Amino acid sequence: MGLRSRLAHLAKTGEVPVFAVVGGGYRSAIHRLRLAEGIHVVASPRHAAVLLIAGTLTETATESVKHVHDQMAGPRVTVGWGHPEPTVVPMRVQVTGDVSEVAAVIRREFHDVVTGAIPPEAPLLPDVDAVEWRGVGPYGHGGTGMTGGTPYGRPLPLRAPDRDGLELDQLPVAVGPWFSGFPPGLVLRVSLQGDVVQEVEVVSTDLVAAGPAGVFAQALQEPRLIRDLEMARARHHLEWMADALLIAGVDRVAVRAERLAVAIGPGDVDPVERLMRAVRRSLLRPMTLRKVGVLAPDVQVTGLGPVARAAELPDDRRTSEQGYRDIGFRPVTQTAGDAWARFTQRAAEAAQAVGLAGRAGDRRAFGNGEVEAPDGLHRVGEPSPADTVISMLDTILTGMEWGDLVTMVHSLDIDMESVSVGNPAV
Amino acid sequence: MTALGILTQVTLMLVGGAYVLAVADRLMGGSSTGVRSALSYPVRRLSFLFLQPMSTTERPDFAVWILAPALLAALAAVGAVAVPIAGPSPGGDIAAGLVLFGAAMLVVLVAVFMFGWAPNSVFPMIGGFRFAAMVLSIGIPFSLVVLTTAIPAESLSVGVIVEAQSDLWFVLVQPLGLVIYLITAAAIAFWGPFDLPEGSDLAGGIVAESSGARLAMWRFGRAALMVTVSLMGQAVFLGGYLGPVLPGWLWTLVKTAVLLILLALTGRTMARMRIQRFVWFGWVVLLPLALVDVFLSGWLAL
Amino acid sequence: MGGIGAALVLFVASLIAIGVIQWVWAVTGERELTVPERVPFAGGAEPEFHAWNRFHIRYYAMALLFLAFDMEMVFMYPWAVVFIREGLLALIEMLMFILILVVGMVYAWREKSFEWA
Repeated sequence: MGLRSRLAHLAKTGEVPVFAVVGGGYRSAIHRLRLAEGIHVVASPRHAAVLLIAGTLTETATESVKHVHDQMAGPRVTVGWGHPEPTVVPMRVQVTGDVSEVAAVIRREFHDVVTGAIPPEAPLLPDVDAVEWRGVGPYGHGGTGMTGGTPYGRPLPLRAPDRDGLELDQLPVAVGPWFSGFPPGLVLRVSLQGDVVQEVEVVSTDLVAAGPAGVFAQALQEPRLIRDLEMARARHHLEWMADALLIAGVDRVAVRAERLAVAIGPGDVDPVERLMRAVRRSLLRPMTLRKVGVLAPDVQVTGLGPVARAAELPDDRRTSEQGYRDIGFRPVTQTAGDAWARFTQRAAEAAQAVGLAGRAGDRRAFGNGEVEAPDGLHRVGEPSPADTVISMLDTILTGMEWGDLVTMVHSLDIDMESVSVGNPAV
Repeated sequence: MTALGILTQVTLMLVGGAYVLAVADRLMGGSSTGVRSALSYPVRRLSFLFLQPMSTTERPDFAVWILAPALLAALAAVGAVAVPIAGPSPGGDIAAGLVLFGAAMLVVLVAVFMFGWAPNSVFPMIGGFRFAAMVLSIGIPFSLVVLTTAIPAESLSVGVIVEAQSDLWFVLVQPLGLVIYLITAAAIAFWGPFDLPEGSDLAGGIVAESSGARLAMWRFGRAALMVTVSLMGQAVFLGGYLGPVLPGWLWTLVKTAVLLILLALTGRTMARMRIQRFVWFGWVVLLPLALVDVFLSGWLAL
Repeated sequence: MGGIGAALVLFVASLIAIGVIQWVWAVTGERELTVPERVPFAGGAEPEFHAWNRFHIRYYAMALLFLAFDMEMVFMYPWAVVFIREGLLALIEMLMFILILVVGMVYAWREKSFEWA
């Protein structure tokens, strides 16, 4: 025990690896948690000691949350943030306060579980095989013949023709809902041949419950201050940029984007432009985004906001609002329509938004059942932009290399909280 | 120098270099931690990893999973032996040091692939296969630019190559060589912006299923690999232990640390290259440039 | 016992040391992991199949090109040592050899062997 307690003494004040399950209303909060001292949000539960369940989840999410809980290597502890249903998964502590409070609780729980002051959590799922395989088959390993049966509990991959007409192995695998490259709650079943995706199917979209109505949702019913709308838009785009930079591995610039999303105020156009210069220096365009994720011309992007405008479609409901026309609003567009165009489009819209917020005074806009939100046009009683994107994911993602697929999915900015397709909760 | 002496020297070099790299990487990460906490970061991190149990998957290849981190560190150690650290060493210097180094570095492909294959999980596996594509694309330019330094020295011994720089460091004759070397070396050590097998688009890729002592050993192996490529880089391009006033071993340490910090900086500030662009970049950009470097340096050496 | 001997000793010693560290930590682990704890991670969804498969390496044409260039590297190691002694002749000979290989690279580029999706 001597070595163990010595290691615990050194580790207890170290950075806490946190795996975050992000439910309704907490996407933005996780961005602020990333900036908290002593917290490191990790991509795999194997690296984590604390499971953070933030915001509201539906019953459908239970199984997957229990899976990531059990996949944590331990010593592990679960912390809830906001009002996650305790029925989904038991939590040691539930915090309702702001980011500094939850960060303090996470550090404390980590300290306690590492030093042994509290026992590490036991697995949540029962210790039974998914498929009966022990003792089955000629060698008792569940297999029959070369590739048949379920050796060690799972069958071997299927075979399917590739695009050159060869019969090759094809591995169907469900990715998500808590895979850090996808929006929280999205589960895609992809069929992989090598690293190329041959088929895509959206499995479930109803794991994340909608959070409290934000300023854009409120603007569907009644006019809201343009200043508030545009600041929310700028923050949304900056957080989106931070995620894109994290996916591309530019951690240093991603942190700048996260900080700016917190600190930005009306009229702060310069900081956004400085951030964009750092992004250009990181070679994000030539290394990662250029010519990736161009949509075929027959894909309908109307109503998808920045995605449409990045492909030269000046489609923006703000042009028909008097309040916006008064302060000289004109939609910005890009020409290329690739992932880089979507990045620059959102950066340009963030800069434009803080400019508009600075000039808006007390003008108000919307309130007529139509709102141009950061992810596109929302209309009362109509499918949301996320619905539109979800319904076309299978066609637009087929044939992509895995890394490009992740870039593409993120560049479409899918807000799972506003998905109603196949979602009885909404 | 005795085998035991070399063993001690290389171990100290790799462990010390790994610490420097971990601290530098921490400082470049962008979070607002101060220098003091960055200095203690590697120790705290390592302590946590050794507290954490090692996770396994349903049906992994255990032997390969344990062997892969060991192989990675062993290859880094072998590569480092080829470089004289303190000064000319008639007994210890390996006659074909460049060949040994080049061979060890290309076998890193096997270690990384093993680590990706072993857990029987989809993200690590894609990571492993990605790395195969990477090494096949930049293996040739990497070997070429290292080899180019042997032309003016007329020897494959790293000690002789260092001595040949007593008038002029090779970086001044072959600046293009050092640039290509650093790019390809970062790729071989799967360091940013070429950390494709560990990419965030794969939730950590080859390390996504690893925790505890296994992850700690893998991280050490990767850091040791970075130290080895920096050590070789400073020996063949920056004059190794040659330098005024200070003793030779100190010059080696300083120059290695400079290259390590440079690599740490670029790793966190540049975007990860997508795999197909990387393959194109290796063959269509780096390979012709490396060939130009070889023939230009050859022409100048005549 | 020269440098190569030291390299060999180091190789074996590192292999054993790092293998043993992991082995010790594995056998002193607190308990056997449960079945769900061992499920491979893909975001929380349960996998249907083993991940091991005959991975479709779509860059195989590039891998073949690598073989050709790797053989050239074998010739270049001794060539680099004797280069200055042999002079211009060595330069021209190797240039011819390499140019032929580069034609292969350009052909592979034209045939789009460096992209696969």
